[in-house]
Amino acid sequence: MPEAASGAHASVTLSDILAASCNADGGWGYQRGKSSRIESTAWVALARTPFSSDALRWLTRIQGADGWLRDDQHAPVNYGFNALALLAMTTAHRVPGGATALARNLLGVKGLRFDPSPVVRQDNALQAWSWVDGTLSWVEPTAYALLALKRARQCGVQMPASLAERLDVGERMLIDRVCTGGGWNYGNAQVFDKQLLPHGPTTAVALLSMRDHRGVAAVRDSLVFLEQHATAERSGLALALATICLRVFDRDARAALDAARRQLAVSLRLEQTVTLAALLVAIDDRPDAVEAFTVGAHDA
Amino acid sequence: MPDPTRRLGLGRREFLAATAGALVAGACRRRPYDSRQFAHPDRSAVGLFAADEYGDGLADVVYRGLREFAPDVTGRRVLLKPNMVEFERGTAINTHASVVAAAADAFLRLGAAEVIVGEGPGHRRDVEYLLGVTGLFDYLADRRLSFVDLNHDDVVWTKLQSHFTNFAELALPSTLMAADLVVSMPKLKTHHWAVITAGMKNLFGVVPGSIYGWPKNVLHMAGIENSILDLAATIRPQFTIVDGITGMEGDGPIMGQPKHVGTIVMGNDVVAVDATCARVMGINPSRIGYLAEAARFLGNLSESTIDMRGEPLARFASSFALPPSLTGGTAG
Repeated sequence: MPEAASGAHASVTLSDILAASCNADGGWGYQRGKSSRIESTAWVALARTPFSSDALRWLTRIQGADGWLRDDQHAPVNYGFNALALLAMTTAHRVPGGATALARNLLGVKGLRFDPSPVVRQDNALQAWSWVDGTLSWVEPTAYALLALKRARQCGVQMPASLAERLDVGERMLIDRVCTGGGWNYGNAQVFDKQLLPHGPTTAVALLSMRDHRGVAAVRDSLVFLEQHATAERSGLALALATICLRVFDRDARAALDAARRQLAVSLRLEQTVTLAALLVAIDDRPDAVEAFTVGAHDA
Repeated sequence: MPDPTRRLGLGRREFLAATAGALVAGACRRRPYDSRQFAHPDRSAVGLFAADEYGDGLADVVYRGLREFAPDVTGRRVLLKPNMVEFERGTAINTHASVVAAAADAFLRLGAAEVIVGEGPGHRRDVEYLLGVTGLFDYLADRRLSFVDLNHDDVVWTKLQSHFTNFAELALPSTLMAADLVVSMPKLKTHHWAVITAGMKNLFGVVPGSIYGWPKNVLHMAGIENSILDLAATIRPQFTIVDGITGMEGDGPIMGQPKHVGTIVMGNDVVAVDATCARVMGINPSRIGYLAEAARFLGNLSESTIDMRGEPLARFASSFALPPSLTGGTAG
C-alpha cells in the first residue's frame, strides 16, 4: 500500500504539475501536451490555484457570441461541460458577464422525451439535461447543470423566470433515477428488472447538486451510501469527488482523503488534469476550498 | 434506452431477420458507400486458438496465433483497443488484462516499434478506476506501455467511408488515426441491441465521449447497426483478437453471465472474425443485420470463404443464451 502523501507536499506537487501543463493559449488539456479543453480548464479554475484566474480567462475567451463554449467549432455543444464552465465562472470575484448568457442557454436545454418502456421503469417524460443535443437525459450533465445554475443564482447572476421550473424537472429526474438503497448509476436505476449499482463519482456529483434538499429521502439515502462506500472506488477522481462531497455535507471526509493521498502515485502517473485538479480541491484544507461546490444555506 | 425489439413487437428470430432485412432493403435502394473504396477479400482466414485460462501463458498462444497471419508490424506503431466499459466483480464484461498484455508482448516480439493501449469506455469514464480494478494498470506499468484515454484524446475530424448514418464525419482520437495498425480486442459477448459484440461493435469505444457524451448516445440515436457499419468502414481495423476464454451470454454487454469457451479468435478480416464468433456462440451470422451488410463490402461472412486456422470451430461451438430483449423476456 503506498504511503499517504502529506497534504502540503501533495498540494505543491499537484499545483506544480498543473502549472507546467498549461498550454500556450492559456488553457489546459486533458493531459499535458493535449489541446485545451473546457472540462479540464474548468477544473483548474475550480481548484483555486494561483493560475486559476488564467483558466477562467481562457473559458471566457472561448465563449462564443451565442453564449456557448465549444471544444471545437465543429463539435456539438457539450452541455455537461458548459455547466462546469458556468460553475467555474461563479468562482470569480466578479462573475463574468458571459455567465448570464450561458445560464440562459443551459436553461433551454432538454434531453429527449421518450415513451414509457418495460425495459427501464422510470419517468421518461422528465426532460432534464443530456450531454449533447438530440440525446437522452443523464445523471452527470443534469447534476452539473443543477449545481451550476444554483451556484450562479446564489452569486447574483441574473436568471430567467424559467429557472424554477427547470430546476424542479432536474431534481425530479435525479430523484427518479436514484438506485435502490441510494446513490446513482449513470442514467437508469434498473434495466430489464436488474437493479443497477450506484457509482461513487456520479453519486458525489448528484449529491452536490441536491445539497439544498437534504431532507429528501433519496438524498439522505445517497449520502449514507457515499459515506459507507467513499473509499470503495480506487481512483483519484472518485476519491476526490467523495471527499469534496462529504466536506460540503459537513460529514467526516478523512477516510476518503487519506485514500486519495494513498492513490496519488497512480494518479500522478496517469497525469489526468481533471483528476489532479479535483485532488487539489479535495486536499485544500482552507475552509472555503469547497465553497464553489456548495449550494443552499450553510449549517448553523 | 428504447428497446428495438419491443418497438417492433418482434421475437428473437424475427428480430434478427428483420434487422438484416431492413439494412439489406435500404442498401438495395442505394448503397451508402463507394464500393471502389473497399477491396473486398476473396477469402479470409480466421484462427481459433485454445486458451483455457487467463495468465502469463497467453503470451505464447497469441504470439503463435499471430505468426499464422504474419502481419507486417516491423517498425510500426500498434494501437490495441480492448473492450473496457464497466466493472462488476464476478462478471466477464471486459477484455481480460492478461490478453491485452499478451497481445502487446506478441506485437513487440514481432518487431513493432511501439504498442499503445487505448480505450474510451462507454459507461465508466474514470479510466484510473477501470485500469486499477481490471488489473490492466499493473500489466501496462510492468511493460512500460502507454495507455491513451480515447474519450479524452485530441481529435481529428474524419470523413466517414460509408454513410449508413447521417454523419458526414466524426471526431476521432488522434492516437487512433496516427496508428499504423489498429487491433480491435473485444470480449466475446451477446449484446442486447446488436445481438453480438465483437470486433466491429468494439469500435464504439473509439468515439470520444468528451465530444459526443456518454454512453455514446449519439450512436444509438443514429442507429446502432448503422453506426457499427460506418465505424468499421472508416477505421477498418487491420487485425482483431477476441478474448473468448470466458465470454458473456444473456443480457450482455454488461449484465449477462460469464460463459467459458476457452478460445482466442484472431484474424485480419474483422467481418470474418465476427462471423466466426457468432458461429462459436451458436448464432447464424447472416441473421445479424450489420454483419450481413458488412459482408457485401468489407469482408467475408460465409463459411465457404473463410479458411480456419488453429483448432476446428466444433471444439468451441457453444450455445450462448440470448439477451432477454431478443427473446421477448424481461428477466435480468
